[in-house]
Amino acid sequence: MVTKVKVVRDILEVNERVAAENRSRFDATGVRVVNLMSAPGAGKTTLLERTISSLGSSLRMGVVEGDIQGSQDAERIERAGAVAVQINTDGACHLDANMVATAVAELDLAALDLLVVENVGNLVCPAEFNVGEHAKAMILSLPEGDDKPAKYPLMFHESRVLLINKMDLAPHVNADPERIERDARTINPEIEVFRVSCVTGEGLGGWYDWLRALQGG
Amino acid sequence: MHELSLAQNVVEILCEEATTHGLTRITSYRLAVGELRAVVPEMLRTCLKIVGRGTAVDGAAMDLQVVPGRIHCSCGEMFDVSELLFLCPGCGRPGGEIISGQELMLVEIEGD
Repeated sequence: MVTKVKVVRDILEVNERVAAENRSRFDATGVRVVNLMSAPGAGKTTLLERTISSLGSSLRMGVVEGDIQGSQDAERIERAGAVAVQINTDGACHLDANMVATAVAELDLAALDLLVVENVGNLVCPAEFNVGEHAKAMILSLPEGDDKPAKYPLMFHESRVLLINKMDLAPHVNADPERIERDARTINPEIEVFRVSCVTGEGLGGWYDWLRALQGG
Repeated sequence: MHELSLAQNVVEILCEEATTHGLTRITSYRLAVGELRAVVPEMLRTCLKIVGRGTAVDGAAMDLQVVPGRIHCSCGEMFDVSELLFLCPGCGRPGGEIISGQELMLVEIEGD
């Protein structure tokens, strides 16, 4: 006999449940967690190296490194002076709450003020999977083009912060940071935008202040 | 390629529902997927076939209903998202509250 059943269940409910458990663990130790997302090559790891060397003396930082394969990024973070745990997703294009739960089990969360989850390079999927973070931050580098907010709106909608990176390349690329900022605010009026260069250090003060403020909030 | 992860979640939930309702096999089911989720239906379909092999979902027909993105602006205007930018055609202001378009739901199953 054929049975028809109305169910109405959220497909991501399993992930949401684990994300809530992660969040409880973070809150129990007082560590603040940022989920950092961008396309590959936008400058996530370089931003973190800069951030660690500038804030490392006042903020105890840890990084969960998500990559499809390899551990180069975790090695770079450790050389910069922070604790790092590498996750290899073996092909998956984003981190989910379960993977982050496994990684943070290796960290002494009570010894950290700030934990950054460096997501897999991708402008689509990471925005859909909460990992228990307090805030999502994203990087768009100028050479990627100023049409990206319109093409990938979900990540801009979900992020509290947008760093427009590689501003030092502005004279050489045909992309308008004004348009990026305007379109990002059209999708998400609350988004904080910092125009930065992780090579020259330009504009990073605003990002550091935001991270410090997150500690208080 | 979030379709593969989504497919894994869908199959897991379908198998749970099959057990809950005493079904040995799911013959068809319906998903509601919001436009703003950027899911490629054909890719999801392929992933579901692969992930579903050897489970109670194997061979089930999938019906995918796309839910349009709709925004409720603070000026009171309701509008469909166009070109994925959230600009109110009434007052010209950006943002607004997303009313629909972010769904990822299993809504109905059929089995025996």
